[in-house]
Amino acid sequence: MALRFDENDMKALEKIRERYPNNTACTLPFLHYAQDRFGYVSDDVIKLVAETLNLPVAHVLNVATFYTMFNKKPVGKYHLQVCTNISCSLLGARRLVDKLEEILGIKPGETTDDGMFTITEVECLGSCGTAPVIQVNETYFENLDEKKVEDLIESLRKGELDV
Amino acid sequence: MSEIVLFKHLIDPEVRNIENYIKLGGYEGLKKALSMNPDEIIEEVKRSNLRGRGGAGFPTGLKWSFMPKGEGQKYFVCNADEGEPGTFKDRYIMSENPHQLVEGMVIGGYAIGASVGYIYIRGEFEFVAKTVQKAIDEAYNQGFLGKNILDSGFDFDLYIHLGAGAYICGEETGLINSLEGKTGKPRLKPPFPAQYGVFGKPTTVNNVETIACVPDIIRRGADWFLTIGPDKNNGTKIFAVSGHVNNPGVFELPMGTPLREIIYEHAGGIIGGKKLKAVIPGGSSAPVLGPEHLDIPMDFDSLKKVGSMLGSGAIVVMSEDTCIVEAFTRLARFYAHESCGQCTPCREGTPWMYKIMKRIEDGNGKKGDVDLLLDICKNIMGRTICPLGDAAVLCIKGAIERFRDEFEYHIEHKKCMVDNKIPIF
Amino acid sequence: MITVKINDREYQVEEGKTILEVAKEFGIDIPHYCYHPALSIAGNCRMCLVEVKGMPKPMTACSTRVSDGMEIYTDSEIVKEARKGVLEFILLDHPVDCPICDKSGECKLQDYYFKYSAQRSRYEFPKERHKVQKISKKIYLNPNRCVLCTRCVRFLSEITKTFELTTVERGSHTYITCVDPESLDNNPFASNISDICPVGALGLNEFRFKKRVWFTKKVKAICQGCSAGCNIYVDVSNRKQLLDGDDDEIVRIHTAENPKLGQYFICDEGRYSYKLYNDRESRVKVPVLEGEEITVENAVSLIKEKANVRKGVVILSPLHSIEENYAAYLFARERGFDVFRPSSFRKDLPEPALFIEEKKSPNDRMLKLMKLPKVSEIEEIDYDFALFLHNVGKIHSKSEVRILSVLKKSTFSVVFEPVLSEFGRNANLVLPAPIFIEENGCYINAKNLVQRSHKGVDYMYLSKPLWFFLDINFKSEEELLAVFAKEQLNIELDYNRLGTEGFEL
Repeated sequence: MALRFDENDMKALEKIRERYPNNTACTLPFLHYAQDRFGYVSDDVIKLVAETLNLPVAHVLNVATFYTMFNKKPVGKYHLQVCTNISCSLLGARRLVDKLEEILGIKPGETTDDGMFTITEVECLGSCGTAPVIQVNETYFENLDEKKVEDLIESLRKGELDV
Repeated sequence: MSEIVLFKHLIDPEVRNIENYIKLGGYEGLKKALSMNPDEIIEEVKRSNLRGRGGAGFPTGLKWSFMPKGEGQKYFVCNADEGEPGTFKDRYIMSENPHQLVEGMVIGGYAIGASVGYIYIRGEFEFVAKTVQKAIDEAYNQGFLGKNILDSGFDFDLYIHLGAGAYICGEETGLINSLEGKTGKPRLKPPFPAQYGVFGKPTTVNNVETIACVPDIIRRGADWFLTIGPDKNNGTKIFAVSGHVNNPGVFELPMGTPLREIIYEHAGGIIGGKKLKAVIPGGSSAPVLGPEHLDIPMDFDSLKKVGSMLGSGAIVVMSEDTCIVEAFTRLARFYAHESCGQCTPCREGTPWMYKIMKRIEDGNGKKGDVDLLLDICKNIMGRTICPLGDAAVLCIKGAIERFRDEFEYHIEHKKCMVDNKIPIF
Repeated sequence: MITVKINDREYQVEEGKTILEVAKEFGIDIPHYCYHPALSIAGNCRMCLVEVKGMPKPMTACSTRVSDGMEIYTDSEIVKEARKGVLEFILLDHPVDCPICDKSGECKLQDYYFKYSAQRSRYEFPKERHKVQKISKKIYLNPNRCVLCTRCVRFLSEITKTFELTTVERGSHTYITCVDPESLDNNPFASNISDICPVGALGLNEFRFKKRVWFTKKVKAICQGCSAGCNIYVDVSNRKQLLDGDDDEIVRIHTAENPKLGQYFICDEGRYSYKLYNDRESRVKVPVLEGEEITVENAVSLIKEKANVRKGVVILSPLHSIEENYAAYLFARERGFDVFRPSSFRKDLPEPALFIEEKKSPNDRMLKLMKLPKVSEIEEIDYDFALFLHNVGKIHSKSEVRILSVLKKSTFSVVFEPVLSEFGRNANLVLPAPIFIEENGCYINAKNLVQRSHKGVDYMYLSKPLWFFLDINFKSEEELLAVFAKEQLNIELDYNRLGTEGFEL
C-alpha cells in the first residue's frame, strides 16, 4: 500500500512550509517528519515527500542519502548511536561498542532479531566534555562506561526510559 | 572570577527563562540597538574587535559591512552546526542561555537589514533546539521578535532549521545549501554569501558564540569588550576541553588565557597525573601541539604564530598513553566520512589517507607510507572547493610533522610504541 | 575589452568571461571534465586549475572570471603538479578497463593521463565496485568509470528538466543512479548524456562493444532530420574488422557543437537516424531507365535529349543541399522550365522541444528564400519533361500526391534519389543520388544560418551529384554554392567563409 500523509500530518507540514520561501527548502524538515512518522526513509517515503513538495524524486533521494541521520533501512526500536570520534575514543568509546556487541550479539550497522536495537558508530556528537556518549534515538546518555551501558540496555529493555 | 559574557547561567541557573534573562540586563542591548541606526551598530561591532568564533576568526563587523545596503530580502543565519570534533560549546550557550543567542540574532538582523533569521542547528541537537525554540516563543510573546519589534518599525522572524547529520554543513555555503533543502555541498566562491546567499539573497552567516557576544557589546559598549583579552583578540572565549583531563567541560575565559592554565587549572590536569603528550588547540582541524606549547596564550594570533589555530577553541588533550597514529587515524576516518564527495582531491584523497594510516596502525605499513601521506596532503591542500580538504591535511600533516618518529616506529616494528593505551579501533 | 596575460603573452579579452573561455578562444588548451559550455559551472573536477599571479592557491579556470591585468599561467610547475595530483585522485578508484571500454580512444581520462600524468598509481587498496546497469533502453551506466563530474545530472536537470539521474550517498561512496528509467526511455534527448560523459561511464547500448573509435572516421555533417541544422559527427567505419559490416558503414551519429547556433546537443531521433543511411539493399545503385540499368553516360545523354522540349518542370527538394538544388535550378532556368518547391513534412514537437524544429527537412529555408512557388500551384501537370529531387526522408503528403501525378502525367520524368521510393517507381528514369555524407553540401537552417556538411566517404556505387548528370559545367560543389549566393542572396560565399560555425544571413 502506498504511503500517505493524513490530515494531521498535512497540517503539521503546512506549518513547516510557512518558515521557508519555497518547497525545496522543506526537504530536510519534511524528511525528518516522515522518518518520525514512518520509522525510516524508504523509497516510498522519498516518493511521498517528493510528491508532497512537488519536487523531483531525484532531488529528495539525493538529499536523503547524503545525510547520515536519515535511515534508509529500518532501525531497531532503540537506535544506539555510539560516538567513536576522538574525544569519546580517548575515553573508551571502543569499549562501549565492544560491550554492546557482547550484550546484543550484533555488530555496528546491524539490528537485533527482535527489532529492539541497532548499533551505529557515529561521528562527533558534540558531547566531548561528557564523553563517551551514546545517543539513543534522540536522547544523549553521557559520561558512560561499560557498567552504565549494561544498565542502560537493561532499562531500555524494561521500557523504563523515554527516548 | 573573570568576566562573564555568555555563560550567564553561572550567575543564574534559570537564565534560560526570559524573565531571569531580562533581570540580568537581557534585551537591553536590543533596545539600545533599535535606537541606533544599523551602520552605528556595525561600527560598534567593528570597534569591539569581535572575531568569528566558528573557527576562521574573521572580523564580525567587517563581515556585516559586506552586506548590500538598501531594500530587498536579506537573511541572517546562525551556524549552530557544531560538529568539529572536540567542540561542544555552542550547545551550552543554546541550552543554558538561549536568549543571549536570540537577542544577538535580532540585533544582527537589524544591523544587516535582514527581516528573517534562521538558526541552523545540527540534527543530533534536537533536544537543544527545543530549548532554543522555547526561547524564541518567549521572545515573540514579549515583542522582541515578529512585527514592529518594540515599536521600532523593524520586523524580524526567527526560525530553527535542523540539520541531518553532515559535518560539511558547518561550512557556511554548505550550510546555505542545506538550509535551501539541498545536499550540503559547499559552493564555489565568488559569489560570496553577502551577494548571493540563502535563496539567492544577501546573507550573513555567523557562529552561535559570535552572535551571542553581540548583545553585551551593544549594551555595555565596544570599549568594555576591548578591556577583555589581548589586542585584536578581544572578548571572552569558551574553551571546550575534552580528552584525558580530570575535569572536562566548557570554560568561558578571557581570550589569551594560557593553555597551561586552561588544562591544569580549569580542566583539573591530566587524568592519573600522567604526562601531556599532545594537545589539539582548536578542534580537530587545528594542527596538534606538544607540551612545549603549554604557555601559549589561547587567541587567534598567538596560535597562528606557532602554526596552528584557535579554530573553535576546542581543546583535545592527549596523555602519554595515547597512540598518536591511532588517534589521528580515527580523525582521518572522520574526514573521509564527512567529505561531501563533490570535488576530486578531497573525495578521493581523504579516504586514501585514512586507508594508509589504518594500515600503518594495523602494523601493515610500508616503507615510504609517511612520505606518501605527505604527498597526498600536498595534492589536496589548496586545491579543493571548500576548507574541508585543507582541514584534513592540517590535522594529519600536523600529526605527522610533530610525531613522525611514532609513525615510522609503527611501520618498522609493526606495532605501537605506547603501552596501556585505551584502544580506539 | 580588458587586457590579460596568459603564459606571458598579452590578450585583449571581453570582461566577464572565465579564464577557461578566454583560453579556449585563443587556442590555449586547459584540461577539464566537469565544465561544459551549455551547463552550469560545477567546478568539481579540479582539472582546470591554473596559476593566477597574486593568488595564494591555484584557481579553477572554469569558474574564475578574468579581470584587467590578470596574469595567468596554464603550464607552470604549480599547474603541472596540480593536474598530476588531480589525475592521480581521479584514477584511484577507476577500473582502467580501457580494453573493453567504448570510450577508449576519445576518453578525456585517457588523453589527459598520457598528456599530464603518465605515472603509476600509488593506490594499493581494493576499489569500490558497482554493477553496470542498463538505465534505459538506450543507455547503460557503468558507475565504476564515473568521475562524478555531474555533467549528466546537470544536463537532465538544467536542459531537459526531467531529473532522471542524481548522485546518491556522499564522499567517496557517491555514485550516479537513475530514478526513472521509463522517463529516460521517453526523453527525446536522453542519449546526449553519452556524448557529454567525458569518460566511459555512460554509453549507448547500441554502440556497446560495437566499434573501436580509432577504426572510424568522424565526418562533420549537418543533421538531415529537421530544419534546426544541428551539427553532427557521422562516424563511419574505416577499417573492416572481423564480424563487422561493410566499409563506410555509419556506426553512429553524435554531437558536434556549434556555439554560433548555441547548439551543444542533438535529439535522439537525429542520432539514431543513421540506420536509414545504412540500408544498402534499397540504394539506387545505377541509373535505371524503365526498369533497365543503363550507364551513366547513357543517362547523361538521355536527359539532354529528353529535356530538349519547351514545357518542362523541375521540382526542387528541401531534403537536398543548396548545391544539388541549385544545379537543378540552373538546368531549369537555361531551358525556361518551371520550378516549384514541395512543402516540408511536419511533425508535432515533443515537450520540451528545445531546439527541434517542426519541419522535417534540412534545407526548407533555401527554397523559401528563393521565393519559389509551391507544387500546389502547378496548374497543368502534363509536362514534356519533369525532374524531381528526392532524398531519404519525407515531404508533405499533399506535395507528395501532387508530385506523383506530375511524374505520372509527364512525357518523360526523372527522379534523382539515393533510395528507391514511390517517386522513383513512377518515373521513367531514376538517377542514383549520393547520401549526405558522400558529398559536400550546404543547408540553410530555420534561423537563416548557412552551414556546410562535409563529404566523408566516396560516392557509393554509381551515384553522382546532380550537376554531373545534368552535364552542367562546374568544377565543384563549392562553385555552385557561390553562384547561388551571388544570384539569390547577393553575397559572396564560399566554404572558407562558412568556417566551422556557418554564415548568418
